[in-house]
Amino acid sequence: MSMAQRLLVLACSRSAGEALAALEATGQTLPPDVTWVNLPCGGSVDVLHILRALEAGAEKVWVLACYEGACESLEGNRWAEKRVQWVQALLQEIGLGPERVVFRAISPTMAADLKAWLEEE
Amino acid sequence: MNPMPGRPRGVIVLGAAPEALCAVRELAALGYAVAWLPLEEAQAPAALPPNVAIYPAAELVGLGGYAGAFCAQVRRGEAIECLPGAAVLIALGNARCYPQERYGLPLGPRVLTPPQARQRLKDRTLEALLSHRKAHFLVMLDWGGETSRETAVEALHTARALRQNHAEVTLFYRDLKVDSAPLERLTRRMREEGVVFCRYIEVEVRFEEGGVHIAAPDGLVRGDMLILPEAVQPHPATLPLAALLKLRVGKDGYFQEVNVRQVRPGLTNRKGIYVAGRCHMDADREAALEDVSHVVASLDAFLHSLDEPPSGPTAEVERDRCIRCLTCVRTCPHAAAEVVEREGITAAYVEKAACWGCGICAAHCPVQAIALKGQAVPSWLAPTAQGVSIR
Amino acid sequence: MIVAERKPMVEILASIQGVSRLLVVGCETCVAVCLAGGAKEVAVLSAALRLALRERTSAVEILERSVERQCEEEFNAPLAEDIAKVEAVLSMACGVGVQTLAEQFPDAIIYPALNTQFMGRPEAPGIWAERCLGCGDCVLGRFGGICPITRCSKSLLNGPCGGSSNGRCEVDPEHLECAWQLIYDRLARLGQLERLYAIEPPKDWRSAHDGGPRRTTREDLRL
Ligand code: SF4
Ligand code: SF4
Ligand code: SF4
Ligand code: SF4
Repeated sequence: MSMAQRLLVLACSRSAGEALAALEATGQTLPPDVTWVNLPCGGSVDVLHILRALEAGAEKVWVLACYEGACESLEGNRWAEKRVQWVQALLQEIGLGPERVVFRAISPTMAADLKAWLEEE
Repeated sequence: MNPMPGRPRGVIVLGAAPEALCAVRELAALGYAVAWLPLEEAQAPAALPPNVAIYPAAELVGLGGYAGAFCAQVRRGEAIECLPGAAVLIALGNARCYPQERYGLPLGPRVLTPPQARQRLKDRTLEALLSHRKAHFLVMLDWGGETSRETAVEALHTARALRQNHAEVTLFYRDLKVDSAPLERLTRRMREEGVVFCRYIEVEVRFEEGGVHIAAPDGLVRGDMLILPEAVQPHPATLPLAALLKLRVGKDGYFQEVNVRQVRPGLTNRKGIYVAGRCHMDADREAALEDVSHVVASLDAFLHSLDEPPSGPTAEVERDRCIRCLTCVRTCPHAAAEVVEREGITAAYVEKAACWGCGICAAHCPVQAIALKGQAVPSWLAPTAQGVSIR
Repeated sequence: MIVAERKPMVEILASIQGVSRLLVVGCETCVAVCLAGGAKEVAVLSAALRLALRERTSAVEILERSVERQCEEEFNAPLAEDIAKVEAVLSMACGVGVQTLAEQFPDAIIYPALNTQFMGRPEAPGIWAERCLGCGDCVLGRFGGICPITRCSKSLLNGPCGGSSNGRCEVDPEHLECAWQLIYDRLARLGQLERLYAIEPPKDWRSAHDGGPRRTTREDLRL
């Protein structure tokens, strides 16, 4: 990626993806410096996705997946969180801030929360 | 794809619970050919629809195939027979026990379970007590922990039957949720008929002068007999069957349903395999049978969806890159990946019809041999190695 | 399989300090199966290195490769061209693979990226545990299939010691089962408890590494 992006969102389409769709249905759009990538499930978030995004210049990476117990693939959300923690530890080791990668649980009905998070960032 | 075009698909039903019979009937009415394996000694119902085949003494030794084309491997004598089915419905029911530890009381002449009380009503061994002017039954729910829905409702029916036989009945409860119309009707009738409902937080039970004394908030209640509901527990076949079929079992020991958005009742972690009734939920008989109807409808919808072209991403293994590490096999929550020999190569293989497209396997594979087909990520994000692997 | 884990990044970074053209080479056999050094880990380590070195003034170029078995020269041969282009090679194979590269490419500077740990097996998803020390004179047949040399913390051949309690080993009760409890239970199960009456003589460690570096010959494969 050549474009320097402020934030890359790796989103479980079943929860975060739907929350975004709900947000967009109200006429809101994502800020231009935010890239949103829908994945079928939190479980398909790969540590390399996160590293590639950082390599490509993203300042921050969010991984959004379902709440505990709400993943259709039972533990896709837990894998997503584990992989975030794995990358955080790696970043810590190489002297980059682990806070550059964030895991958040979200549900399809949390459009308002999503909006607030995006504004905070 | 219908394995037998133009002919009705088959469904395999496992279990001997009343839910199983109900499911068998509903599925047969929808036109499915049903292979019913009760898996335990059970009385075969007198009349079954013609499209139902029952295998009373069959032992299930495995389940081959995948959603749309399962094969129940059944031992009959020396031979293993394969019963085909496009989907599987499990209705094991649950098991009962008298939770003596929870109550701290053994059963005895003055302590009965509801089924015992009803049996004695039936064979008239309670007569002596009932002709006594003040025969008084104390039915105690939620003692030492919440009583299961199924046995609580059973205790209510027993309390009512005792009352209708002219006994005095006091029903102690703590957490009774009257959250359905039939239950609402039942409790209202019971009150009208004179069953006394008494809510408690803490009670003390004593046996004195040939009677039972309960120290409740409203004072001391004296009775002749204590009725303590049974507890339910998972059917003993749950764990072995779950292991055989690679199904998930929850912390509570019951089958785990994957129905997060309540759109596919009864669906397990494996496509095409469903659980119904009390082997996955705490329900009274009516609610359990109602669940069967929901699950049969969801199974029916699934079988219809097989006629549509498949949609959504699925995992695909580059089989000549696979190093057979088994990571995908071990981490796929849907039992869709296996290491098998196909076309002369022994390597991981994902059955499309069984795959949910979650990508858990792809993100784990140590040699990046798995890709989610039908899922596009921007090329700069692609997790492939930047160099070329030399093999 | 041979089990390994990645070295701390600080150590890896220190070893390649000042290198501006680097080759990272994985191995797709043992260390890939234990998720330490396959193609995926090569990609992860390379990405992490590029991130770590981004602040450096001179650009760093990292080539990513992975071979079938790094302990075999034939599989490594195609690396020659890449190795000629770089200043250093970071090997993600076990120590055998690292040494093979060093022997095969005498002019190349090769650094290990992994700590090679043991011969073991996956005990549970994500957990690998040691099972064999390669003593060169296997005694498993006398001990119910449980290796007292590897799995007893003290390698006792006439165990157990006084530190065995409730089936756990005093050295690390949380993670270690007492090998001697396991041996007893397994022999009991096999109806072979009488084996325990035999006093095991001191082991001749010459067949192990104590006799110096070992080698094995198959004369029928030699001309
Ligand atoms: S995880 Fe990858 S290498 Fe391992 S068995 Fe599955 S496909 Fe093969
Ligand atoms: S994507 Fe992989 S892990 Fe998910 S269901 Fe398919 S085979 Fe299993
Ligand atoms: S170099 Fe050889 S021994 Fe070492 S991990 Fe690779 S295949 Fe195994
Ligand atoms: S006895 Fe020696 S060769 Fe056998 S398992 Fe133990 S260490 Fe390995």
